[in-house]
Amino acid sequence: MNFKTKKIFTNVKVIIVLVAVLLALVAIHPVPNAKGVAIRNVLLNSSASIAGIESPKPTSSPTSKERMLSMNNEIIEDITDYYEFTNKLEPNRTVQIKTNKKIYRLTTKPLLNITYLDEKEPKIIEEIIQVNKTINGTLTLVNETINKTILVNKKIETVIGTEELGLSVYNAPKTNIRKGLDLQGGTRVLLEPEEELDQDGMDILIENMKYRLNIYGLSDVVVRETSDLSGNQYILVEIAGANKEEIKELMSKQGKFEAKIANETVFKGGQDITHVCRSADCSGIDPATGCGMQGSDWVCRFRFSISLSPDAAQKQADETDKLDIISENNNDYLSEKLQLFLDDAKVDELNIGSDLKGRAVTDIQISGSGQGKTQQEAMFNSLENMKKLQTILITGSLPVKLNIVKTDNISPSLGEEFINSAILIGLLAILGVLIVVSLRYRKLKVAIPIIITSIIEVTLLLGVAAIIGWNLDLAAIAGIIIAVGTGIDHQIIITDETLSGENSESHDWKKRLKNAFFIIMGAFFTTVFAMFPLLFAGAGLLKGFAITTMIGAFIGVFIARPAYAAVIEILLKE
Amino acid sequence: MGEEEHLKTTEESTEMHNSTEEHTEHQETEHKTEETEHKVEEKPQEEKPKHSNESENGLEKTKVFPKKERKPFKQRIKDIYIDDYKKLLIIPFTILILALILTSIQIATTGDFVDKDVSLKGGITITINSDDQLNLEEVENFLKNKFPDADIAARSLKQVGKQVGIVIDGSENLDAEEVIQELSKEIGEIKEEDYSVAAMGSSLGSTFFKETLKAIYISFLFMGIVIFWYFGDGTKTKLITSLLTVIAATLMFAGTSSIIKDILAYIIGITLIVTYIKNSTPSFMVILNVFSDILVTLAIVNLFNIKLSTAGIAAFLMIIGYSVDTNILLSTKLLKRKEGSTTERLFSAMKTGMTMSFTTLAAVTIALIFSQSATIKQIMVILLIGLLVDMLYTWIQNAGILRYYLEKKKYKNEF
Repeated sequence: MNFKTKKIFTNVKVIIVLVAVLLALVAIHPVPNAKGVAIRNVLLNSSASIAGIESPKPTSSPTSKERMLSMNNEIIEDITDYYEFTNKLEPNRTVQIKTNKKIYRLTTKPLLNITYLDEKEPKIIEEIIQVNKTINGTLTLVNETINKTILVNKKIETVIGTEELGLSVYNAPKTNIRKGLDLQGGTRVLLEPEEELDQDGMDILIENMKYRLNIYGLSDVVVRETSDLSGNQYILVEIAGANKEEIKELMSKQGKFEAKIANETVFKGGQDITHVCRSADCSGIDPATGCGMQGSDWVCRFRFSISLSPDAAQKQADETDKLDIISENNNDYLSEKLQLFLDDAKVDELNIGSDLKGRAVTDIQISGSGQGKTQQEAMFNSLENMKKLQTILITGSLPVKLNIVKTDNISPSLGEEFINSAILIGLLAILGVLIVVSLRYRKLKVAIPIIITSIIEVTLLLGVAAIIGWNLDLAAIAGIIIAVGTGIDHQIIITDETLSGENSESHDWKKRLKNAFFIIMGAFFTTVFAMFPLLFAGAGLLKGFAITTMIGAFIGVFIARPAYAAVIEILLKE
Repeated sequence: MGEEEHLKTTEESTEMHNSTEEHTEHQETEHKTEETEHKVEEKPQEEKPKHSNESENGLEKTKVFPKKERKPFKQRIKDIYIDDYKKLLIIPFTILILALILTSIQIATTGDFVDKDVSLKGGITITINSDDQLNLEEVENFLKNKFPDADIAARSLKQVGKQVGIVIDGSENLDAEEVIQELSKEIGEIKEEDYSVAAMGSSLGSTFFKETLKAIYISFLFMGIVIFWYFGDGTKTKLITSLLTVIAATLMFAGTSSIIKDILAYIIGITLIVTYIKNSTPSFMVILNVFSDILVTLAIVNLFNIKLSTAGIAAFLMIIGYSVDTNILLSTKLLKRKEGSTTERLFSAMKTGMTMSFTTLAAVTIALIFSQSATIKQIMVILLIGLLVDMLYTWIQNAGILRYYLEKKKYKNEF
């Protein structure tokens, strides 16, 4: 027996599985006793952000998120504790927040109610003007700051409570597996189109919004049409885990992007843009300008290139042809700038190089900026702004403008106890399989490897889920069940093929295993090809199911089953 | 159900057959005294099924010893399974036609091939804001009792981590005013400003089912081509059919969809299926089998008046995975192996296949019994039905037709 044990653990296929399981466990990173609440997002300019708490990067894994452990030495175990504590907070108090990384000192802000009056009052503001001055005998243009008095409306401020800390938190995750909307709930946004849409218009709108959210990087999204009883149209968007603020902005923007020269539109987002670069070589923080301080804040500039359709390029050439060349700091520019408008608000303006006059250029660089308290935060916000702008340029504008009616947190449809009961049921189901397999083979040395292999397959699948950061939802759970189910099927085939060979003349193990794997590979290819078309139809349910099933099939056929066959061979071979 | 009973008996006969065949199993199969008894009794009869007229013998026996019914009955079933497999094909085909008729009636009367629940059909959503910590289950059960005709699901409305109200999702026939009135009696008065009613669309969208059907149709063609490569002959035909399959898939999915492209894709599909019927019975059988599994399961789900939710759709997709496994097993054993007779190989495949199905059935039944979640329950009920249907279609329909195909092939080779 000892000899066999040694043989099992020195088998290459078994070692591969064990290494894979180890990697999967590292990826899943189970922290069974994780305490505190994890920080999902920090609002800009909120008291939390002023205290120096930073938003986690969107790519960071769940268990690596900063966890808040105590506030004013009161231990925060879960979100109930957190909300109980924050609800009691009064304005202008200092709160000490201890996380697993640092200790922060935060001052709460009063929540003000501002009423503007008709009465005007004078206010002194600073303005920078350019004046000609004689310095050392030569006339130069210098910036000078002057004080200016203007009239503004009088306002009355009343404190009506404490402003929210600006933190969005959730119970500390115990593993790196991200839960889908079905399991963890999420955000629900109800939007109302400004004008009534017919069915076609509504379909286009919904498709466009789904596309926009997917391009933005939110995958577990439900966008559907609803209406109230009086016939008003609404669009309901449900997003797992994501924080409200970022999507609010993305959803409510109609995304009407226009580039103008001298008030003439030269190109628009969507149809006029054939390609938006999103790879690192032509998008990201602008290496020429980079980041810099502006006042007390950091500002980072981003840039990315886009390609225009020939029509739009020609239109631009026609416009630039009319312009004059002016000189500024030894650079020649055209007399008008290229102005970029998003939903009728100017977001940026770019100088046009004189060499572009009258030329139909299809490649254009778009730039913009983002700011924050630290250089890292500014960079993050800048890239975030870039992603939003890119999304809008790719997806074009929505047919109508949408107004956010309400946003709320929704509870998971599979229930909060779902995960615990799913684990219990999974274990019981494995026990059931163990009993059937034991009855059939009457050999524990067959039954136990089957069960262990199944558990390993689930672990590997969850490991992959943690690595690629896919949301574990209903579709994924169905895919996991089918992967494990077919896994057991295939192990039974391997066992039967090897056992049935035992009393035949051929004692050739290789041939028996080859026989078994012929069937398994047939089933594998058929399943994978059957799932393939589902990848292209209907986002969400079908796609999630197909992907999980395919990944499960790959793991099973190329990692788990060869190892099971090796173990069975060692155990049963005399 | 008739088919279930039948399946059980075929399973038993497999065990009997194999236990005598495989000597290694001898020391293992002594768990049931009953079974060992069969083994002894059965041995002399072992060879019988191979001679054609022996089945009558079995029939006679039951007439002579009507009290000792079990063994002869089993033997009789086994003989019927071995010898009259062509007649047995009537059962799965009748059920398939019945399922087709039932589904057609369902479509004709309700306009939908299945009863959809709130999550698929949409309905109304009543949001009640309440500071009281309401018990969701109590509210849900109370409303279900009061409005037995409607689908009702309650969930909590959370804000900053605590319950601030409840949301009731209900089917369209639910009257929001009545719900509020009833609830007011139960949980205290609900003021007008504390609740809102909205209509809710389906969570899967109106195009979902159309897309799913198209995707599954292409799935069938893909399965057919893989099996053709695996079991069929003729590289030229293989290449042509592959090309046609890819064209059909491209027509369905690439670019904007149009009716003409869809019709072309369906014509190509029909051409492919006709090619398979002529050139590759196994390919056609896999398509027919998975199709039958899904359709018959659907018809049974409809008969039981199960309201399908999103989870149910997932369960139907899962059936594809399970039926592929048993089918490939059977096809390989019958078509690719040389050792033993066709019947022996069939029973060897059946033994493995039944173990596969029974492990899954065990897991599914346990999940069905212990699960509290309606979602899981629905997945498991549909899988349970699907697995039982798959047993019938694999071991009677598919096995029968493949044996017929082999016989014809043998006959061709001989002359």
